[in-house]
Amino acid sequence: MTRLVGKRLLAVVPVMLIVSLLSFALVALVPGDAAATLGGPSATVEQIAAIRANLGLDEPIVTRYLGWLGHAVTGDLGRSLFSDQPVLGAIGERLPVTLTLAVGALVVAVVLGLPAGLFAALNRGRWQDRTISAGAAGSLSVPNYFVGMVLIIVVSVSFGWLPATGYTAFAADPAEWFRHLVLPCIALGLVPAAVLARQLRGALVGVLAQDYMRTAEAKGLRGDQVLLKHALKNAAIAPITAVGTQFALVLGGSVVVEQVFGISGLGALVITAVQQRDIPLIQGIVIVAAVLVQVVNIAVDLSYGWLNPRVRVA
Amino acid sequence: MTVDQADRIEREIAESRVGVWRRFREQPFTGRFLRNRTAVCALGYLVLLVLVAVFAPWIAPHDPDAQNLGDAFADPFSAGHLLGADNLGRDVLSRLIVADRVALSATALALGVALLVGVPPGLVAGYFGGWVDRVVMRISDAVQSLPPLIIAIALIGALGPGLRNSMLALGFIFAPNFIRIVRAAVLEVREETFVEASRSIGTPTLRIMVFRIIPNTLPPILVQISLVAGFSLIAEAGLSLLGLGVQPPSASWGSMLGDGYNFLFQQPWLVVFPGVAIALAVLALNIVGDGLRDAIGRGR
Repeated sequence: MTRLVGKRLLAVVPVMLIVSLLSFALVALVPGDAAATLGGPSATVEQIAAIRANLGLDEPIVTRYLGWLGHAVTGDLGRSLFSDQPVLGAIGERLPVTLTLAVGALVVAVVLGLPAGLFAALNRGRWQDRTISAGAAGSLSVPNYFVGMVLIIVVSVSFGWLPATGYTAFAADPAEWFRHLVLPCIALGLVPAAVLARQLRGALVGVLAQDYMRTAEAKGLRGDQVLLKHALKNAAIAPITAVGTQFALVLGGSVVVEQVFGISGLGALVITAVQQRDIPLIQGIVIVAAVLVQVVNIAVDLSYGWLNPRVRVA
Repeated sequence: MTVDQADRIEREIAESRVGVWRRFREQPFTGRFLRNRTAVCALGYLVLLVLVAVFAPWIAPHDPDAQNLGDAFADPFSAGHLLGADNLGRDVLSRLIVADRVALSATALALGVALLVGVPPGLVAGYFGGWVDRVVMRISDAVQSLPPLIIAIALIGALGPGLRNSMLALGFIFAPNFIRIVRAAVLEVREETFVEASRSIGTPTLRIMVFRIIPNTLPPILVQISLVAGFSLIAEAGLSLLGLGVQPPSASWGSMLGDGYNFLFQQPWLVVFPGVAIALAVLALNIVGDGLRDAIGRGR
């Protein structure tokens, strides 16, 4: 198991190197003289010079990349072109909100998708299965921001059950925190729920047809034991992978959903950064998002080892 | 030419048409797809969307940008406005029709970029293998491990807002999907006897690629095209909603959604129609994609 962990951690290095190259290359993509373009038409000569110094545009590109990478590895992602605040600090302020949303969305996905997939697999080919499949196909087609708007129209505006917009910190008022999170998390969680239900149904249908399932039943195990210990554990790998890959999509999707629900998390930060063309801040957000996704991917890969002992040796 | 001859020629033409249609229907791939009625209906809806996009200016009942404050927030089915009017009294149906053109051309642009950037590396990686393969796959791993929308927004931050830039960004992000799918398809065909036969009689590599490999990668590419088109449509609308895609006063389903959202309390329908338009288009693309995938599945 330790070897598996070590190997998996080593595999992160090349991926992160490429990610760093990609986000570093953002400066090169800015049309024309980067410093002048980023400063905008009203920028003074001094402001442009300050931007040039911030981005190190006078140095050769290789030196610049190595210097930037060296700082990034030690957690120094530079300073914002506008507020002059350290990039990592600005991201750190907003990250908890977005992470809460993402985790909440995945909770919604499991709460809805797990029973749906299970129920569909157990009733394969019947109308229940077809209804759930159609529901999943539908959920996959509706954009999360539209789901959010419809939820606001129906739940908040028409019935007045939950607040439409805003966010309350958990420390300030746990009940209000929860009430503000319900709708955005449902909006973000519907697509992962559909993906999870589909994957789980597919994997379970395969496992339920195996001989050892009949053996388990024949030796007199109770129905729920057969299902939990023999079926679910063996069918878990595909759905867990699906939830893992959905994390990246939820993180991206939260940009728009945060805007719809008036929540100022990472999404609001990245939009301001783009409107101000604050390249260091944008680069920082890209790097932080990539690190988060890598962490989740590693957790997913390691869960294989726990679920399937054969993986541990390999 | 006598009347008889003309009749005969016409009959032959008619028969040959039937022949083409029958061959098309009996070909396993298209045949299986055509038997899937839901998928054919979805394909029909997509064709309708394309036709509406092409003839948009002639179909739209009103000038989509014409303001008429007297009609502001008109309800659906009110006089002159089938789907109502927005805060400036612009006809919602007309704007939806014009936005259909924006949505389709944006999706086509993103798809074109993704195909152009994704297919050649996928072919090369799959056919030659070795270190080329490893480098290409590592890069696409890295790109795929990033949240797509955040990368699109970051690229827009560098390139500047606008529909063209945001679609270029999306194209690059979806390219790895094609790299992966093409590489997998090539690996499957590469070892087939007919490719080996071509190679052993000395056919140039480029010729083998174009005439033997590429045709066999087309079905999975088609599936991927319909799925990626769905993603790009949702992403384009999302970016336009944020104000990073289409710029006012042009209409996109996303920007209509964003504008309507500001007047949620006055007229909720302004949100509903563009949202439903996006969802229906994506649903049709997904159903066609699933239908194509089932049609490829051999012996089922």
